[in-house]
Amino acid sequence: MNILVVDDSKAMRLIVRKALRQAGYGSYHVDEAANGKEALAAIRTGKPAVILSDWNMPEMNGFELLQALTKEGIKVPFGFVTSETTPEMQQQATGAGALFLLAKPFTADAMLAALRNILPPG
Amino acid sequence: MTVAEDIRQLTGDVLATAFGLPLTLSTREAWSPDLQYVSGLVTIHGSWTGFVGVHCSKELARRFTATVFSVDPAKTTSDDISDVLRELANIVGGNIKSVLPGPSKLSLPTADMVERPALRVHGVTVWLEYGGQPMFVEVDSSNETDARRARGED
Repeated sequence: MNILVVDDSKAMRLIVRKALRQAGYGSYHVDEAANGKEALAAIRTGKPAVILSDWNMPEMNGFELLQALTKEGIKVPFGFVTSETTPEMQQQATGAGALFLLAKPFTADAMLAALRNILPPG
Repeated sequence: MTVAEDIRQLTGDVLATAFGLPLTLSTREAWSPDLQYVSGLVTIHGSWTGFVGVHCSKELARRFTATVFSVDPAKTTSDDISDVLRELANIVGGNIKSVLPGPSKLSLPTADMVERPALRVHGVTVWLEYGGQPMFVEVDSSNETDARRARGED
C-alpha cells in the first residue's frame, strides 16, 4: 500500500513524509509527484491507498487533478494539504469529493486526525 | 488581533511547525550592507490586491534549508534554498490571504536572491530573527485602500 504526495515543492514533500512517519504511517511506501499531471500519470499505472495533494501548483493544480480523477472514474481517497483553507475552498473541495483539507503548517497529530478514518496507521 | 500580530504569529508557527525553528520578534530593522537576502513572493489578486514577501538573509535561508533537508548548511544548493523560500512565501501568503478581504486568488510563489529587497512602507512589515540572522515579512499593495487594510486600518 502506498501514499501519493503531490506538491511542487521538494521541501514540502519532505515535510509531509516526515509528518507521515511521525503520525505512525512509517510502514507505508510514499510516492511523490510534483504536480497534478505527474500525479495523474502515476495513478493511472497504480492506484495509491490515499492521495495527499497541494492545491496551488503549476501544470495541473490539485483541484484539477481531483476533477480529472472523477472524470476518469478513478476512485481514490483524496485530501488536500494546502496553505489556503477558506470556507469557499473547503466547500469547493468537499463538493468535488475531497475528504479533507489539511492546512499548512500542520503537525503530525493533525495529519493523523485527517487520515485515521481513511487509512490505519502502520 | 491586528494583521501585524497575525503575521508575526503565523510566521513563527510556520517556522516552528514546518521547519522546527523557533523565531523571535526583532525590535530593530536589522539591515546590514554586508548581507545578501533571499526573497520569496506571492501575489494576491481579487477583493484585496497586493503581495506577501518573505525575505531572509542568505545565511538564514541556508539554515532553514539545511534543517528541512537534514544536510550541512554548506551543502545546500541554490535550487533547494529557492524552493524553501517559495514554499515559505506560499504558506505565509496563503494564510495571510485568509485574513484579508476575499474572494481573491493566490499566485504561484517565486524566489530571488537579492542584495537588498525593496522595502515598501505602505502596508505592514514584521521583523523577526533567528540566531542573530534577520528576516522580515511584508504585506503590501500599490493601492492605498488595500495597504490600509493590510495595516488593519479599514
